[in-house]
Amino acid sequence: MFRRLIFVLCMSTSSLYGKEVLTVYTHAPFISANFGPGLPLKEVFEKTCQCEIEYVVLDTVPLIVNRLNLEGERTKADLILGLENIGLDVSRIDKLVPYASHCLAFVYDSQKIPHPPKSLEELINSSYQVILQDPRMSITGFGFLVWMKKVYGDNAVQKWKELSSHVLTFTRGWTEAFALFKRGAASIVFSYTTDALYNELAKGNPHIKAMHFPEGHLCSPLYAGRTKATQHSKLADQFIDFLLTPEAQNLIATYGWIYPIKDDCIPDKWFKAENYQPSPTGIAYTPEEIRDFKKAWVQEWIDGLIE
Amino acid sequence: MSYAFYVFWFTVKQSILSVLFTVPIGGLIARALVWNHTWLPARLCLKVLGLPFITPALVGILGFIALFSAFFNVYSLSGIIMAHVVFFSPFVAHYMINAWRFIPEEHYRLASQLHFSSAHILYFVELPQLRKALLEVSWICFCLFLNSFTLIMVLGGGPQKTTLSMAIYQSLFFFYDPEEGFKFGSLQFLLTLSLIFLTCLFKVRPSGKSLKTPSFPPLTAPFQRPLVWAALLLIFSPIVAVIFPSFKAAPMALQNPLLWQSLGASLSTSIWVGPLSVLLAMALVSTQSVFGKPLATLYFLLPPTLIGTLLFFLSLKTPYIPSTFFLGVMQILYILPFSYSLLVSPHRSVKETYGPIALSLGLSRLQSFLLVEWPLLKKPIATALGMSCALSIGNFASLAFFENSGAPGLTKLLYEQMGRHFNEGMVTAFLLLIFCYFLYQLPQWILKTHDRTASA
Repeated sequence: MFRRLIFVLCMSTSSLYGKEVLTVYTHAPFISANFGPGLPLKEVFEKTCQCEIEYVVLDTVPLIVNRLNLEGERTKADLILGLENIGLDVSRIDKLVPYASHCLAFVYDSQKIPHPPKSLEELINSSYQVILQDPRMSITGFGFLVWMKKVYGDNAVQKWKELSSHVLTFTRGWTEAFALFKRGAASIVFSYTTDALYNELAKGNPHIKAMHFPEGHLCSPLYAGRTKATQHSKLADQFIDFLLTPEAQNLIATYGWIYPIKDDCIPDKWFKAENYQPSPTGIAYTPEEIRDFKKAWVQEWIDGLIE
Repeated sequence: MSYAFYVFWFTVKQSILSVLFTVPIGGLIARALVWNHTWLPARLCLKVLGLPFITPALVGILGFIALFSAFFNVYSLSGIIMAHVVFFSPFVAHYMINAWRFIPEEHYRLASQLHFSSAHILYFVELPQLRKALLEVSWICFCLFLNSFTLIMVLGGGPQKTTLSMAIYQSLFFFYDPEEGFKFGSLQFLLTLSLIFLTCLFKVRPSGKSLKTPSFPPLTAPFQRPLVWAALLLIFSPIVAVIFPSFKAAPMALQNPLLWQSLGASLSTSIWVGPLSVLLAMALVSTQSVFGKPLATLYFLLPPTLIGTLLFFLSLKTPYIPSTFFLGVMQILYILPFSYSLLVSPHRSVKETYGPIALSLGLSRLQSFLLVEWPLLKKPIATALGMSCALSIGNFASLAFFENSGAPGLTKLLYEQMGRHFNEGMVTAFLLLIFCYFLYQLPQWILKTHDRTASA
């Protein structure tokens, strides 16, 4: 009996001696071999706590959310990073804190296109081949669907038809689209404003530039989401607070190539870059309207294209 | 127009257009080969016509993209049609050459006495004799293109370029919408049923390869020789387009542990799937089962996505069965028609020639197999075994539906890489190609079969 008691005591206090593990579900852009703020953030944060961060990396944000919802109460995830609240079911997350943002944009090769279209309208009317993402599978692609809808309203279908005459293809995700662009399959790809910065500063390709449209871009905050099922809510909160510190914000911008939520944390070298442009005006939308209309908008897009 | 109807219409449209281009080109290649069959390049071409068949489809498509994407948008309807032409016109040529064997030589002699021009011979002598085979091969191609999966998965995309096969797969694996998947699946099922019905109605039965040495007419037509070069180009250029760039990317890509894990996974599947398919085919052949004949037509009638979807739903209902089992079943269903067709006619001719003697000598079944059938069937069995293993390792559809345990498998890895790291994909493709050809040859080396019958 005594032995059993000791065993139970040992079991219950073992977590005091072992490290507390924070399981984070995130997408590939957050952490990969040579890209993403995931590893630097882990390194700095683990110095401040008796804990360990364990990343579970999935391809895309919708995949993370699907997996979280599928696992339900049994999920190991404490925190989701890189989350966008755009047409996703976030009912299993009880706290959403924005820690960065990014804006969608058309990225082009200025060696092939010296005079790029100056507005969305000009781009649609041009004959340049464009690589887009399928909005049913890719969050980037869905972002563009929302963008078109917000700019053109009921006229969006007509504009889609005009655009689709020079769409090279609709890829499964952003990665596939950008890989095609890099191979030179087309000289315009739908991507993010900061891609131009990344290509200039990290890759030495200043000729890859982003088009800035005066009517605004679709921007979306990137959230850290604490799951409802977490057993480590305190640690999760601690990590979220950490993400908002200047040091972490700087790491996020430097390694993740996204806008930090605090403007004064933008890395100095960004300002010196040829391709740096401040975050463009955002097109207004609410997560609620997107949740409500997502299905209808996608259906409208399909019907328009096949007509 | 509803989306489902559009997808159905697009499926049929791309198939018809592909047939309209593939069959004439394949037919002309066949004619050029027959007319120049003593010329060295044509003899080489005759030997390698089957190569695109065992080359994994994804490798061919990768080469196709590398070759043609600089000239036009390969991710379009014309890209799909062009790819069908590249991969299937050698198949059409192969099929048509077999049909040419049945044109009596005397017809050609008479035609030349009457000073017929080449066009006249085509119109008055060849076309009437080849009409049936042409219709047959058109129908087979039409069905194959309708069910095209791998090619559309790579070159299609977006609602405008979606076929039924792709729509099913997307609903199940990308949109997580089993209801939609079921809807498209039912449509495909209906389509397949009507194809089977029409096939029975037209009495399309792929003609077996005749065993006798071909007696091609003694013709030479140098003006058709460019077509032979074109055929050689069609066959080799996608492969060459993969091999050379892969040398450059190899040092990096070969360090990827996932590549070796995938190779291991693919090999471990094909090692049991290949022999099992041949055993099953042999059992069907030797028992002269009633399932045999319809089975031989299944390779063009049964869409991989339909099998995949049925097995996928089945696997959801039976979580205790490992997915490797379903993967194997799907591959065997795909391979069986081919290994059956390779074995059925050699077996029949052996039975017809030596069966009565074996019977009169009072040999038991086993003795008759060991003494009579095995020495004569060793070569076709080795070919069937090699082909089954090669088809297994090169098959993408089964891996798309069922994960191998642990690693994705070579074709699945290649599919992912084609979208993301094109150059690394070249290396994977080259590795896949090497193992595919190696597995194809291996049984023939082990069983030490030599090409004694030397048929074309």
